[in-house]
Amino acid sequence: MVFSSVVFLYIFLPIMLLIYFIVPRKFKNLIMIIASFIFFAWGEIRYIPIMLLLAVMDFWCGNKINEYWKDKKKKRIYLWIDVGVNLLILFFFKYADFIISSINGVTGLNIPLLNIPLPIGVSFNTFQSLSYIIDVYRGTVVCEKSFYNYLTYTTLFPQIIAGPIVRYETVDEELVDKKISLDNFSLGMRRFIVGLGKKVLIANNVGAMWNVIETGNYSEMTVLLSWIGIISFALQIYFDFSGYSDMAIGLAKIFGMEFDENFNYPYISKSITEFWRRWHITLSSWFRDYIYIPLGGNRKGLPKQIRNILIVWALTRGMAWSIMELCIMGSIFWSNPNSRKNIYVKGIRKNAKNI
Amino acid sequence: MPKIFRHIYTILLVLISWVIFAFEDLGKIGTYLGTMFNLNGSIFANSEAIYYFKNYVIIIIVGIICSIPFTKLREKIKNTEKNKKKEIIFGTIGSVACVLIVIVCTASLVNNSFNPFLYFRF
Repeated sequence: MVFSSVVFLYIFLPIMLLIYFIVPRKFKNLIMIIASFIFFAWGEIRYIPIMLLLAVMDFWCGNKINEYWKDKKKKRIYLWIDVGVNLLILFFFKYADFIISSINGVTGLNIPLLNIPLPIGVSFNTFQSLSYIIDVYRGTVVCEKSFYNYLTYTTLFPQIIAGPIVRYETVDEELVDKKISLDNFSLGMRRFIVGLGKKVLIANNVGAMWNVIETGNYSEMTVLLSWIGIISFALQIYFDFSGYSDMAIGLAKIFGMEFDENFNYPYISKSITEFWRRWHITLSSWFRDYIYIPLGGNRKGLPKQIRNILIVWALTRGMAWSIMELCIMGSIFWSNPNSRKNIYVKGIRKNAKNI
Repeated sequence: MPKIFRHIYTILLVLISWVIFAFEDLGKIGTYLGTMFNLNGSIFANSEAIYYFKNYVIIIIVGIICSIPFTKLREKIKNTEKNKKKEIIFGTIGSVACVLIVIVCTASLVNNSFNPFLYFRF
């Protein structure tokens, strides 16, 4: 299901909100889980069993890491089990056909392609699971003790399609105690409506212009048309993406949860570095904190840095995405990664207190 | 570099990146960039381009204005919140705007106008 549809706005959301606010506090997560599954099943039912199994595994590994907190070896094994399976599934969906066609090309065999479309939201879901398990391992968060709460976190429908990537530490308290209030409801509603307007009124309209270019429905490309086209595309992709994030953040607020901001007026940037600090913030900070810095960032010399960039490159498929990631990496290279350095120290202390 | 040049330079780089992102095909990317910077002898405009320009210039300007935060203006509005009367006025304007957005969006969705889903690649 998508936010900008009549079904979502006039059937799904009103019914869900009504039930959500009527039921007692301890059942609110249950309503969120059911709603998320309906939302997801609308177009993507194949992925639900995998999602459930992954949730069970993340939860179990998280608890095991906590159990073996002082045993570094065992702790690491559970981390790698979880990270490995998560990446395997992501790679399967992203690369299976690519690998098969490469094998066919090299060996002359004729293995049929699987033609599995990428399940919607699989990347964001994986990134979120990885952030959870790595944070538990690092000690920046305490593992979730209730599977019910963990499932709520991992299926949260507002962010599942296009982000923002919600880290466990952002919502851990709100999984138990939601900040439901009239103020949050009206603020969230406004935020959602602003996002809806960005998507339907701006993105879709300039998108129609870009569609003319993309589909080649013009007789002759001229300088003026090429500029109108690319400016339209730039506006479409910004308002679609940030509109979606606004709607997600607004919905979360209505439910009593606080998500991180995802866009901060990227087009006013005065450098590419600044642009990436303002564009899809949760994605670029995810890559910085979970891939780039753990691999040594830019402090271990150029060869390692190139290796790190290539690893990120492998995580994403298609030229377009690779280029985007390269830009992110480039911008991180020029920026100062030390700002989050003390997270390890702080986190370990936080966990130690809770054992 | 003065601020304005850094800004233009960044926007240009971003637009070029969007061309690369949108086409994913070196040949097409080259042709498109060539046209943009008038390197392959395309004419500047024809009646078709002017038709599209007239049709879309307003929504493009609206989009550009909405991409700017107007921090100072916002702070001014925020500061008036201590003033009861102005607070009510701005609050009402906000609410009316929201209702209008919902009405226009609904009309657009019911009409089945262009409403693409961009997130299949994620």
